[in-house]
Amino acid sequence: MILTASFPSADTPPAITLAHYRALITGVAHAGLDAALFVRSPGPATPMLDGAPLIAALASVPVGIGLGASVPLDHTEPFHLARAFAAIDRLTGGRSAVIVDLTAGVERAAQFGHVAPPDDPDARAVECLETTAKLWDSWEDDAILVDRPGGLFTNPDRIHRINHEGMYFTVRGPLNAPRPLQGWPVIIVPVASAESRSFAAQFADVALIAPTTRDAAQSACAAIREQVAGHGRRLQAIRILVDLVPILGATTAEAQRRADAIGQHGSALQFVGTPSQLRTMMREWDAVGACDGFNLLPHDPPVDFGLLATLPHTPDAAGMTLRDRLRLPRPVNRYAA
Amino acid sequence: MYIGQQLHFGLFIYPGGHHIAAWRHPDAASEQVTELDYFRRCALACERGKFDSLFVGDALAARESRGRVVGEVAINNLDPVSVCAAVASVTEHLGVVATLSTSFHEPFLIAAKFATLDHLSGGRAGWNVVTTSQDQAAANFGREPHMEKSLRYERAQEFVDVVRALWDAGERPIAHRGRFFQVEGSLGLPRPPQGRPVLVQAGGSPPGRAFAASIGEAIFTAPTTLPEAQAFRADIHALMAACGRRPETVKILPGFSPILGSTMAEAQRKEVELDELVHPRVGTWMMSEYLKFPLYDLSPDAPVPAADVRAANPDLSPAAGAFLDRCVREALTIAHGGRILARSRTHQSFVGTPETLADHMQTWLTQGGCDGFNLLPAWFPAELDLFVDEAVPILQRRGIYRHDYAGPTLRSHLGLAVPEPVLAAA
Repeated sequence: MILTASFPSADTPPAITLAHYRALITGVAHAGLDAALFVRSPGPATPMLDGAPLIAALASVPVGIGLGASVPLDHTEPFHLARAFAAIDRLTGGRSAVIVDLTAGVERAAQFGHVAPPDDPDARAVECLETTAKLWDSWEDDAILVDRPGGLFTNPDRIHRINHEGMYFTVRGPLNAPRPLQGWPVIIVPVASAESRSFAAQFADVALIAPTTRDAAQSACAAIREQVAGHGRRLQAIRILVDLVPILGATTAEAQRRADAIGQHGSALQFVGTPSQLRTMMREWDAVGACDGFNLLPHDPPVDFGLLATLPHTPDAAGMTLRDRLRLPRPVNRYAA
Repeated sequence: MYIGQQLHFGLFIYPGGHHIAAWRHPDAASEQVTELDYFRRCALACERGKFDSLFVGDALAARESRGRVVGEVAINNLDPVSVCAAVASVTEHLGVVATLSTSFHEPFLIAAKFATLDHLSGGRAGWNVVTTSQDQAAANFGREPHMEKSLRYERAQEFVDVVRALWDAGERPIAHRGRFFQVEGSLGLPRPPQGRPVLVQAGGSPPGRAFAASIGEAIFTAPTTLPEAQAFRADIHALMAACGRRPETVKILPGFSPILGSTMAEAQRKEVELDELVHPRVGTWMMSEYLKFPLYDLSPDAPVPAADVRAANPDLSPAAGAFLDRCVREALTIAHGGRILARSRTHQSFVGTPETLADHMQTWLTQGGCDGFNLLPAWFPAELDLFVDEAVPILQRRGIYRHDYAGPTLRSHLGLAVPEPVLAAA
């Protein structure tokens, strides 16, 4: 079962320090989770902390978990996106994930300097990610030689122009950075609309869904898997995680006291109980195929992850890419002979 | 104790090294250039040497020769902001300066990136503001090549104005309506710890110099002689005065590529060894790129066809023009010119011992040629270590270089105050 933790940008602390984020992801790793995701909160006035440099700065923290950052896909040039994550994926040793944000440019059009958002932001986003993936593929995995006696650092036969000419982008390529260690970073798509579901079905390695019951989760998963198959993708190529707010306590009563104090925030599914009760519930969902795992949205990360860490779990594995950890296939390079 | 002018150092990091062929040297960490540990080793050396900052350049196109990637040279720097973020996370004092072009970005995201970097680093971020004219880069962004140069700087000036306004406003919204940009809103983040990340510039042409004098707090430049350096520095100070800025609010840092040996003979042997690693094709490619003129069909032993180059490129950059003059003056062949460019493009290269290097730097400092240097080691990390461990202690003993950092921010290293916010009436 896959477990991730999401940290919305709305929770950016008043004093933004690296120490705060280091502690946060260390807690995630100790709780036995697979990845920490830094997600832009919706709305035009939320803090614009840029998740890409944030996860690059967290690459040096000695944990093996994956690190994801939201990218405003409807307002990004493919070359910049490809270049940034080619670097971040290398710096993290193949632990990076792109979280697709399909609404930033619409909600924040005025800040980005648009008089109006693009006519069809979803079509632009699709083309942006397709073009970005071409740029990641523009270097084959064996393009770097470092052949000192032969005098060749790279093999030019393994580096390709992409010559992309589309509706929104014209990009010649190649990228000026080697292919990410994972081939492509893991692509994560939060599903909140028909458009984002369709986007997830085409591109997502991981889809995040927000049903409020187990039955709703089962049908949402089935709907996504059907669309995935419609795009000719294998069903094993996608992991579907359910958003879950864990309100934990060492005892049921303690958890309930916390829940009463917190109240219901937003529409996400809540779980109130002890860590082992949470584990039981997750196993039940897993047993009926309601999802592949959960994306935890904790109210108080140190408390909830501290409690989760008390459960027995496999220790955080180092030296593994995020794709390996999630048992996701490595993308085949379209330019490889 | 003599307390006078003090040198400032920045490291210009580069995969493999600044000598184009140094990646072939057995001591160069060429296999590691995309790994965090490579940057960590270099960054820790900078901090041991009490440098102001580590600087990452940018390129928005692969290096190609006639439509094919040039395999004989190392790769470009990785994405500068990502590298700077990683470096900041493994250091405590070192400033981190990332290059981003105003020609292929929009102000809002750039303001957000550098605000993020400044917050996470505790006030150690700098932005090297560049404009891009390269046609290959335009092809990666679906743009027409060649935005006219003065227009590029007008756009860059307005770009910087918008970014500064967003930083200054913090969580409050701005409303900017200008010729190139319309931006309404806020970053939703507190003002960065430095007020504004440090602005770095490297313009050499007349509009570039004017821009540098208007916004630059550190300026990179590439003079090769002391008189050139003095003239550049005086010119910048005069242009700054015209903008109402005082000369002490800028640090002028010529590029400087040292090849050090414990004796002069040892240093010279190293230089020859490096020259021999330069593939002739690379020399011809560097000359063709730098002079914006294809030399591929000529013999490497042919003289540089200066008249043809000038006829084809009436507006060569000042640096390229000066280099072409030198080729004529010294009757250089294409191969010889290529070996010169291979050393450090046209930055000043220095071959000598730590003592002679200290003499040289002291002269430049006390004679008004510079406020310090942007270092371009021939290869990494060994040549950087050599400078830090052998040359820095001599400069410290002479009282022209700090023994420790005076504060925690890049501004404090550069002796720059936190700028007052300029807030538009809300």
